Amino acid sequence: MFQIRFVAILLSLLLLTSCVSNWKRIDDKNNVYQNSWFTFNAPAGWMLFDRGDSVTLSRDGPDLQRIGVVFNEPDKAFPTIKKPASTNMLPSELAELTIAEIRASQKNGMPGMEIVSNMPVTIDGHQGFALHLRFKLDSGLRYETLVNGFVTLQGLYALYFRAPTLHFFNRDQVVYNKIIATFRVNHHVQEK
Amino acid sequence: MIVHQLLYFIFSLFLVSCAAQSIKSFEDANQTKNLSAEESRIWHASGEFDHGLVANGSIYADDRLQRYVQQVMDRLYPEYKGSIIVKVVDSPSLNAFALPNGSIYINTGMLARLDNEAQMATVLAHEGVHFINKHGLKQRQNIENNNIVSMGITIVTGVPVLGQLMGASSIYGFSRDLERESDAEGYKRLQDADYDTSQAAITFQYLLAEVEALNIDEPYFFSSHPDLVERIDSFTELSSRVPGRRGYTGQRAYQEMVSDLRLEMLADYLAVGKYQSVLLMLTNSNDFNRYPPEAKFYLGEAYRLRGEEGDRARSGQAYQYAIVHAPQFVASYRALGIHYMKTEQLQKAEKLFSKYLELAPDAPDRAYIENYRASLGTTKGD
Repeated sequence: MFQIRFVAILLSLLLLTSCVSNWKRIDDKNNVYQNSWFTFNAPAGWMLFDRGDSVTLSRDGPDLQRIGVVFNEPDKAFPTIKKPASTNMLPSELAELTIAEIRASQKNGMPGMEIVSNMPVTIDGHQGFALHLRFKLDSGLRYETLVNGFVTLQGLYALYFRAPTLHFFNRDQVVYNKIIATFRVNHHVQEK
Repeated sequence: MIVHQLLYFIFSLFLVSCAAQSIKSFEDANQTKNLSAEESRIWHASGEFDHGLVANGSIYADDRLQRYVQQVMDRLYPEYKGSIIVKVVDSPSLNAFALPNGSIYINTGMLARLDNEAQMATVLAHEGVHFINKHGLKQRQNIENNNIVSMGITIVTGVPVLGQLMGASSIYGFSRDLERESDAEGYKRLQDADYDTSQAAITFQYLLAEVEALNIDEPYFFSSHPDLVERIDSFTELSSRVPGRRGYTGQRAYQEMVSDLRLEMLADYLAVGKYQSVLLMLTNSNDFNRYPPEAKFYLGEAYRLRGEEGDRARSGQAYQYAIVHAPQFVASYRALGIHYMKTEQLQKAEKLFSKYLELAPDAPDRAYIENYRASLGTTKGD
């Protein structure tokens, strides 16, 4: 019994340690984030978690506000509904598949999810979509999510912002909009 | 909050299971007002569930359909009018279930798949017997306590919430004997209410065909392959013993009532990318007759989403059919417009986009369509 408890505590500590080490604070002198796929100006003072082809940012904790920037190769664009992304798709079709992927990835299909708006946008010169979604957790807490995305020959680029409606969504939406405005697909990727 | 209600409900059931007493069925509606202490506790817990379902928005918001389903139940159980309350649950799962307090729930997913009123009456009659014969209480008396605990854990950890609530009722079915009892007495109710009893076995053949064709893998009683086979055997045996009666089928009335619901189900499937299910449901010409003509739009969407060779042409034909036979259904114009835009029939695309925005000036995707219209002028014509 003691051994099991000891191993469990040890594993938890290792997990926590590994999590902590991957979150990095963004300083205001070096706030341009760049990886193989994209570049954007990250908000100074926020924390950034880098997974290589995706990045998560938060200031007060991922449950309070979370901004994600994700690149997926065409075949892995919509894994739950098992649909690829392609440049033949119209922005409205990409938005449709994104909504289906979000719904399908929840066990109950998110019946209470409300699509507040679904509009075309241009991000770094690419025709894409901008979704505004609203939903309620079983606990009753209301959340809002913004999702932006577009597809190139290399794959699907998606950016999202999720925060509780109360206080955080309106406050931190400005930060998300700045990330969208500075978002660039890396040139060497475009030239591939 | 719902988990607390659930735990309380399970605890109540646990207490009842410990009380080894013989449980008699209700003989009339008056007896439902004269409950033992244990029964009162369970009824209270059931009532909490009822409120929970309403509070979390699980009840399907269609008063006309709700009234219709209640009328069918009252026709089956006239002496229990006001004691058995049926509600339609907004859930695509193939299920219906009874709570010990006489609340009976039938899912939109079940209603959308049945063919006529007699088939719906078969399901309701079966569930009504669970209530009148107190199968919930009887089952608990025969279950080992540890089974109840394990069931509770399954329910508590189960997602979605709706599944948690339904888990403590007839949702997973009762023992084989109790289910057979419900079949037999339910069949008698169908006869007495002058329904076409030949529909009883067909009901479950329908459901079984759906479960097999759509590869449905749900734990619920009415979507369980062995339970459905058992029901078919049971009703086939009943109809061979008791001469069948060609009573009321209620095909037209039922179609009218569930027509919108069937379309919503198709839309729900596409909303989670399940285009294969829509194709399976609509490509069989016999099954397609159950749907209104605008269902062809959803068939077109399913072909478009599948995107195999020849699907583009198939989707175009489906949209055209929908426009001809259901011209008021605006989504078909947009879909066919996009189809023409992609196949470079730009003038046709422009006409359809224009028609779409004329019919739906406040369409939520107006900005997209205006962008597409703008792009048509910059590329080559038809």
